[in-house]
Amino acid sequence: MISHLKIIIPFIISVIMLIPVQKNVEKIMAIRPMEEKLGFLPSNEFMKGASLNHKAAISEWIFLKTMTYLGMKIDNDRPELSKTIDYYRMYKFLDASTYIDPYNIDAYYFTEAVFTWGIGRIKEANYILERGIEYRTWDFYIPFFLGFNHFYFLKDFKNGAKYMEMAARITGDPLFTTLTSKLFYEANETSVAIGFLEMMIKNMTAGQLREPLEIRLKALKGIAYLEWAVNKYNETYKKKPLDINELLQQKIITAIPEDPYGGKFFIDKQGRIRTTSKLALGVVNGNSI
Amino acid sequence: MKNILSIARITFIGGRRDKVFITLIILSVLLFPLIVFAISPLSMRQVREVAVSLSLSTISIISLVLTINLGVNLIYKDIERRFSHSILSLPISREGYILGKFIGLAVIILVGIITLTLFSSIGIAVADKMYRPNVLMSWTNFYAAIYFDYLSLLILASVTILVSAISTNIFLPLFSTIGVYIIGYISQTVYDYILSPKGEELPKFICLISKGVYYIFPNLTLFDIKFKAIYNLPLTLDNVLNVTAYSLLYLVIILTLAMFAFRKREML
Repeated sequence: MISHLKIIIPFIISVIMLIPVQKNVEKIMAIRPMEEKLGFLPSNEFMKGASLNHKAAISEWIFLKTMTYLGMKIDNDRPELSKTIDYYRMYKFLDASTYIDPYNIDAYYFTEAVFTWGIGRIKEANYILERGIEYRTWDFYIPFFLGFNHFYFLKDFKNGAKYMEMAARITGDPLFTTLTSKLFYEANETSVAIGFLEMMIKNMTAGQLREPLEIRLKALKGIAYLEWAVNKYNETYKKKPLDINELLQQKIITAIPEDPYGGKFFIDKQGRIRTTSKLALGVVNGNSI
Repeated sequence: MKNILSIARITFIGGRRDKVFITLIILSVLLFPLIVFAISPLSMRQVREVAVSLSLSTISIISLVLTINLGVNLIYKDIERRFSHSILSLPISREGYILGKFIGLAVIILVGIITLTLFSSIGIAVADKMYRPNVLMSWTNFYAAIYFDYLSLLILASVTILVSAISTNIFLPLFSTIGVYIIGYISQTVYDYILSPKGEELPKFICLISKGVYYIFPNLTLFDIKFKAIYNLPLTLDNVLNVTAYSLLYLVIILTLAMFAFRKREML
C-alpha cells in the first residue's frame, strides 16, 4: 500500500498543481503575437529530393502554411497587419510548392488570387502558372488564368489570345468562348473582372482566402455601379460629372456605394471612378502600402 | 518447404502480437478521419486529392515504421534469446530459416497495409462524395500505388534481413535500412542532376560514385506513383509489370546474399 502511495501522491499533487499553471498557459497563449512568420525553406532542388516519396503531401503542407500565414495577416479589425505581409517569402513558398508537386492546383489558384489581384505582380504569378500548363494538361484553369492576366493586367492581347484558345480547347464549353470573346473586345471593362472574380470565388472550397476576393468583388461592383451612373449622366446631360455627388443630386443613384477597403469613391480628371483606398487594405488617404 | 512455412507462421504470429504493430495500426486508423474531416477541407480546390495524398503518405510512413521495427528485431532477438539456436537444431537449413523469416515479415506487412488501405479507402470515398472533385478518382491507380509501396517495403525488409544476418547489434540493420530508404529515393534526383548541364561541372569521381550508387542500390523512386494515384494520370500495365519484375529480381539478389551471409555466420 505504501509503495502505491509513493506513486499516487506525486501524481495527484502534480495534477492539482497543473491547474493554475494551465490557466497561466492560456493567458500567455491568448496574448501571443499572431504575426506568424513563414520561416525558411531550402532550395527547390533540395526540397524536392528531401521530400522522398511524400512530394504531394509536402507540397500541400507548404501551401497550407502559406495560406494560413496570409489568413493570419488579413484581419479587418487590424488593417495595419496587412502592411507586414512578406510577399517575397510567400512567393518563394508557392514556387517551392509547385516545384515539388507541379500538379498542385491549390498553389496555382492561390498564386492567381494573391499575386495578381492582391499586389499586381503579374509576371511573377505567370512564371508559376506556366509551370502548371506543362503538367495539368486536362485543366483549363491555368491557361485561363494566364490568358486573363495577359489580357486584363498586361494588355498583351496576342499572348492572352493564345492562352484563352488553349483553355477553350480544353473545355469545349461554348460559354467559355463567349467570355473569351468578351475579353477580346472589353479587356478594360470592370464587368469582365467581376465575372472572373465571381468564377474564382465560386470554385473555392476553403473559406480563408474567399474573404479578400469577396471584398475586392464588392468594391468592383461598387465601381461598376458608379461607372453605369456616370455613363447615364453623360447620356442625359451630354457632359461628364465632375463630382460623384452630382450623381446623387441628379437622383441617378440613391446612395454612394461603400468602399469595403475603407476608402471613398471619387471621379478623377479623366472621368473614371477611383477610390482613395486604391483597393488595398491599410491604405490611408490614398497612400499606397 | 513445410519447415519454411512453419517459421513464416511463427514469425507472423510473433509480429502480429507486437505491441508497436498494434499501436501503430490503431493510431493510423484514427488518423484517417482526421485527414478527411480536418486537414483535407483546408484545401481550396482539391479536397479529395489532398485526402488521397495524405492517406498514401500515412500508409507509406506507418508501414515503413512497421517494416523497420519488426525487421530489425526479427533475427537479432532470435539470436540474442538463443531461439535461433534451438530452431536451427531442428531439421531446417539456415537458408530456409532466412526465407521463412522473410515470408513471415512480408505477410505481417501485408496485413498492416491491407488494414490501413481499408480504412483509408473509406475516408477517401467519403471525401469523394462530400466534395466535388476536379478529377475522377482512380481506385486502380490508388491500389497500384499501395501495391508499389508494398513492393518497395519488401525490398527494405530484405535489406534489414541481409544486414541482420551479418550484424551482431541492432543498430546496423536499423541505420542501414534507413540509409537504403533515403538513398533509394534520392539516387534518381542525383543521377538526373549529374546528367544535366550543371552536372558536367562536378568532379569526375563524384559522377562515378553517384552512378555506382544509382546502379547498385534499388531505385525506390520507381515505386513512387503517388502523383498518378492522386491526379488520375495514366498508368500502364507495362509499368506495373516492369516494377514487379524489378522488385522481384532485387528481392532474389538481396535474399540470396542474406542466405549466403547467414550460412557463413558463426553462432556462439
